[in-house]
Amino acid sequence: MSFDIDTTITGMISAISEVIPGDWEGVKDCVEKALKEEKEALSDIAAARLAGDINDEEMKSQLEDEKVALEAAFLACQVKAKVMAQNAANAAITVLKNAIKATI
Amino acid sequence: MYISDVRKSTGPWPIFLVVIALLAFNGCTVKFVADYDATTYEEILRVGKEVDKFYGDFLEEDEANRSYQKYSERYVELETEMRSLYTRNKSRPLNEKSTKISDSILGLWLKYKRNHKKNDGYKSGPAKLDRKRFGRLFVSAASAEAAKNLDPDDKDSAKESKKDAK
Repeated sequence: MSFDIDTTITGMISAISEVIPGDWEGVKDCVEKALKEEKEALSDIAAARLAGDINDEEMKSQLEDEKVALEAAFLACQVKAKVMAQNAANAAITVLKNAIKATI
Repeated sequence: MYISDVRKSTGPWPIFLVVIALLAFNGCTVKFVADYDATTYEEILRVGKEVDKFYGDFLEEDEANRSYQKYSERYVELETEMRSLYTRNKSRPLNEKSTKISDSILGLWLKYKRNHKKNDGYKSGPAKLDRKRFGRLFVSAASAEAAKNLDPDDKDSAKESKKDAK
């Protein structure tokens, strides 16, 4: 059975967008970039295994470590989304403040 | 809605609006993440560069000459730098995500150090992959810190660059 990494990545993006629909637009590009880099890293690991540069046990360890790296990339995206939400909320408060000032 | 309307209306809305108005007039802003810290950002870049240099020097050496003892001092130095970065992040309120990233970096560093010590060797195959992974981890840490410096008018930078490229 063949493994299509591009289809898998597309599926992963879709799954993530369903989990975080509210913040999705703010983090979409960041998440896509993280997954693209992850794809390259997985390709590097596969190439290293095929070339005999790493053995099965080392490959398993490498894949475990990739989970950590991908999680870190997603955490950075979450910070970005939070900052965008924070800025949006503060912009709304500023509008309200100006509207109240204009009213009284 | 005018203030006079608020006074006349019933239910929780008047209280809510008064609270919001008070917040607004007091100059209050909502805060979901820590403020940007330029020193932390610079530290992330500096430690990331040192780790890359460690691997660069390391990969220059023949595999047979990579005994743990030869590198133990640099392992400890860099571990200290990473612990300092973790503490710096952890001491800041509203900074859980960045703290977790720095904890992950430290965790992988300790894992590779432990393996090197156990095997008294570190093959080029895993070392090259580990070097690249640390590069990405430090970029994640730096991106998380830089995001805290986003202006309210700033949009998703990747999206903007795509537009510029067109």
